[in-house]
Amino acid sequence: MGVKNKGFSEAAKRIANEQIVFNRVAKKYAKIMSAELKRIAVNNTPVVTGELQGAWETKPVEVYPKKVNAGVINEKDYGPSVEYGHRLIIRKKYCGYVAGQYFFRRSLNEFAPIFSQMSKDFQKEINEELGGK
Amino acid sequence: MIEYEDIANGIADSIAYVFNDAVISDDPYSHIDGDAFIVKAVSYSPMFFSKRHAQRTYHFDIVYFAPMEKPMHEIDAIGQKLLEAFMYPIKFDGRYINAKNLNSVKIDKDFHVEFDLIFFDEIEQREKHDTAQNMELSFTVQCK
Repeated sequence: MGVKNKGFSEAAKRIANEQIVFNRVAKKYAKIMSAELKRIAVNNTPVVTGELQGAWETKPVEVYPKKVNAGVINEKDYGPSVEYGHRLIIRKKYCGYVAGQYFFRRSLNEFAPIFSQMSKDFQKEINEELGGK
Repeated sequence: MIEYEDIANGIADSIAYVFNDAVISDDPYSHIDGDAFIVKAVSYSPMFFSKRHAQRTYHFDIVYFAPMEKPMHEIDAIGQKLLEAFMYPIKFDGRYINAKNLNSVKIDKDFHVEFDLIFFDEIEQREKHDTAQNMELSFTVQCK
């Protein structure tokens, strides 16, 4: 004689469905947000040769059960020196200081309101997909 | 409204509490040749909630500017001490505010400590009523 708990299997199905919906919507929004941040960062990057500006890349979206990771990256080695400023050394002698541009900080400040608006849209879409839960 | 100078002085006091005889400046550092701290506000973004009240967010970058001949391990030790100085609340204009998003970066021989200061403030001064100035109290003392 076996005991079947119908309620439990339905709850499991519902949780699995919620997970699928979350992953799909979160992945979509993560891609949009990282593309938007990349666009802002590219616009704010100072241009001399264009190498630093061209080095911005979006990181691949990583989906976990309860979170999604995404972002942008610039792997140019002199990026931090342009961001924060650096010393000017000629023939091992200190000759002055090049002030920082803080272009990534400006990009983050510009992105902050967009991020908060998109987070609200994401929450709204999740609620709509799951039937207003 | 809290002035920027008060905030910068509060940060300078926090540094001076740890490093007693430190040179602290907010000048452009082209003329400084070492062993100094530079306080610099990178960005400022107020968020208004009403006509008078706003949430003010400053992003500060504090640079420890070491002399050229100073070895790296000493710069690291001073930088770590500087970072620890901002783990305690910063006092300015009679208020204690915690530094948020504390972060440190080392570029060549410069140790950067960056953080956000977020606080609510009254942007517009209230109108002063001059009724008190018009009131006079006069009395006479007489000796008989």
